[in-house]
Amino acid sequence: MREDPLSFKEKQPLKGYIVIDRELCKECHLCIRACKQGLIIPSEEYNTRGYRPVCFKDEQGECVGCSLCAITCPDIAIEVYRE
Amino acid sequence: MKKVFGRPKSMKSNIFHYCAGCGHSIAHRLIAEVIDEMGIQGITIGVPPAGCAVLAYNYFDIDMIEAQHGRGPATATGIKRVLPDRIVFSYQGDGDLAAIGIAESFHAANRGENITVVFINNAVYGMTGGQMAPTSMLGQKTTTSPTGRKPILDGHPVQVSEVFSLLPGTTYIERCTVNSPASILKAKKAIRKAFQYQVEGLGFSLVEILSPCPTNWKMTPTEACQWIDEVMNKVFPLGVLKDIPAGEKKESGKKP
Amino acid sequence: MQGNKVIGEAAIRAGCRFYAGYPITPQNELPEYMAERLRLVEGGVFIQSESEIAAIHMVVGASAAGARSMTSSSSPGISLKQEGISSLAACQLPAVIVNMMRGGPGLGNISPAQGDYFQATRGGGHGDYRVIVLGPATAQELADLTMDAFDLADRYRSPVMILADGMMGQMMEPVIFKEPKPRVYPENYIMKGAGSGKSKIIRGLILDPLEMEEHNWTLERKYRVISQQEPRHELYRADDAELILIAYGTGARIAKGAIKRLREAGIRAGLFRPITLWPFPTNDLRDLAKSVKNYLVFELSTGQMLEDVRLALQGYARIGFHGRPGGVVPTPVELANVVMRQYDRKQGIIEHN
Repeated sequence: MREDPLSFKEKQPLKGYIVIDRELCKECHLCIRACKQGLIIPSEEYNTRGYRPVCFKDEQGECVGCSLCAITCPDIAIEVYRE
Repeated sequence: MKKVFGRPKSMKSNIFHYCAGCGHSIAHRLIAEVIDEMGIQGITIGVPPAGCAVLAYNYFDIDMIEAQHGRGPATATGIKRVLPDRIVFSYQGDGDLAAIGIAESFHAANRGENITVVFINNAVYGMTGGQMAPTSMLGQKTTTSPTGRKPILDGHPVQVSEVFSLLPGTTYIERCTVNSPASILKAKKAIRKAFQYQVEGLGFSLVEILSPCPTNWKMTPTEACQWIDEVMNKVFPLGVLKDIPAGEKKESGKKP
Repeated sequence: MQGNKVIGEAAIRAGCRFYAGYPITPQNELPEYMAERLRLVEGGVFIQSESEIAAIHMVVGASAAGARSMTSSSSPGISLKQEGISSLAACQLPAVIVNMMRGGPGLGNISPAQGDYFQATRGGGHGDYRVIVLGPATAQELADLTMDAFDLADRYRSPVMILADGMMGQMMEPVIFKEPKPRVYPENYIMKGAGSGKSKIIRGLILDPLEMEEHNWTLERKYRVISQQEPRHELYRADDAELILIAYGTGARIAKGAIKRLREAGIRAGLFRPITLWPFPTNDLRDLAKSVKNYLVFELSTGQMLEDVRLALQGYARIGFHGRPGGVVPTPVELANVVMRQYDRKQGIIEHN
């Protein structure tokens, strides 16, 4: 199950966004530590491997696609898109 | 919008078996990115270690040959001497490189074999459950040093990069870490340089990567990253120890 | 030509292009010869490695990269190589390993012995595997069998050992090198970089027990084929023999001298000389036992091949034994005297228990 990027696009113009692969995430939370805008949050829902993958929450459209989260993610669970 | 970050082509899409927050996963990805960027996927041969990364061939989409524990540099030497135009790298952990395999590592470095060695230093034997490694720090509690490493019984942590930089046969030695996006990008540059030097036939390179092992350090991934900055860095200072082609030869520990 | 050098020359003529080794008496002339010769051959690589262990693992890499590869040592160094040999067997990589045996166990001495038979034929390393073991007895055989070793290694994708001893390495005899056969081997396992194709993995680690079992049986099937097709032996003056000596390598040379003296003394002795020590020529020996009932095993050890002879002949014939371990090389006269003491026409050979 992936985050759906289109639902964000309809709301407001974005400079960047990320897609988190829920099955790859191992809840290490290094991405949360890396994001300067605090746009990634822990979640309570489990994936099939027993981890609770983090969620991308960017209602204000603040993500600039800097990719720091993806760079630090050990499991290559984050894809980054940018204008 | 275009994709600016994704899985490298040289990295298969298998889920890593490594623990959450493990440095191996990051190091694997960096090497795969470098292989992609340099366009050498079809001519690279990797030698995984015995250790957590023994299954590295499930992740790298390149030819890989298993080596027995510690013998990676010897196996890599055999391949490189027979096929000098291929890119050969040995990927090793603390025990593999600095304990059981120290002779093979030392002498491959001393002969200046034109290979690249990526050394994942996490100060502990991960795969086997957290025993003391040659790079474990004084006072560090592990399953075979339950009251902390003591010099009189267990010796001191081995600074592999410093020791190898003294060998005239080595060309490029840098110590990095992967505990933050900034340090990860620096580590990638070091790996890229090491592979580039091999392509140019310039000799032996070693990239030592201080790597978090949250499971055996008994910390969260975030705490493990901090521990590298606060504790590990003091014994294993980051920076370039040797870079002959760039005309630099730094004292150990000083940043370029 | 000196025995050690014969092996080197034969290897190079057979296409060996990678040699790694560490000096150890009594085989030092072999790495020295390879150092001289390999640099003159296109694609030849010689490395004096930091240890016997490093050498065998360099051979693993070189073999995987597609080169005919060889390493050599003597008894203690061969002990060090065992993990690597197990690895070669597991990964099904061809290689030739030369053991110029010396007195043991432990550091031993530098005199010739045959105390590594168990190590060579009973694995030596860990796991369910076999090594083809060839036992040359003359310098000419050192040449022929070395060349055959590379062919066998390629044909079966398996490590092959030349089991000789210090005396054979040092002696000088005339040799004619035969024409090498062209190299025939399946190329699909070689590590050259994936190119534009699928990447390959060479590994011995198989975590799933059922998969590992399947791999073990695959290897075992290969060894059964080898056991049927590759045993070799030589019979010497056995047609009319009443007593057969069984010996290999230098032991066989001494035995041939003893047979001459025994025949002069009226005993019709002959020799059964295994040339492959694994696979041991069990069936050929049993065939001989249909007509001859008295055997004496002679080894430069306390009795190792003796066990393979027992496996073959126990219950079919009487088996005696004479051995001199520790690097002692007895004369043919001594062996003949021992045989005469132990053999009586009416009662047969005094059995060894």
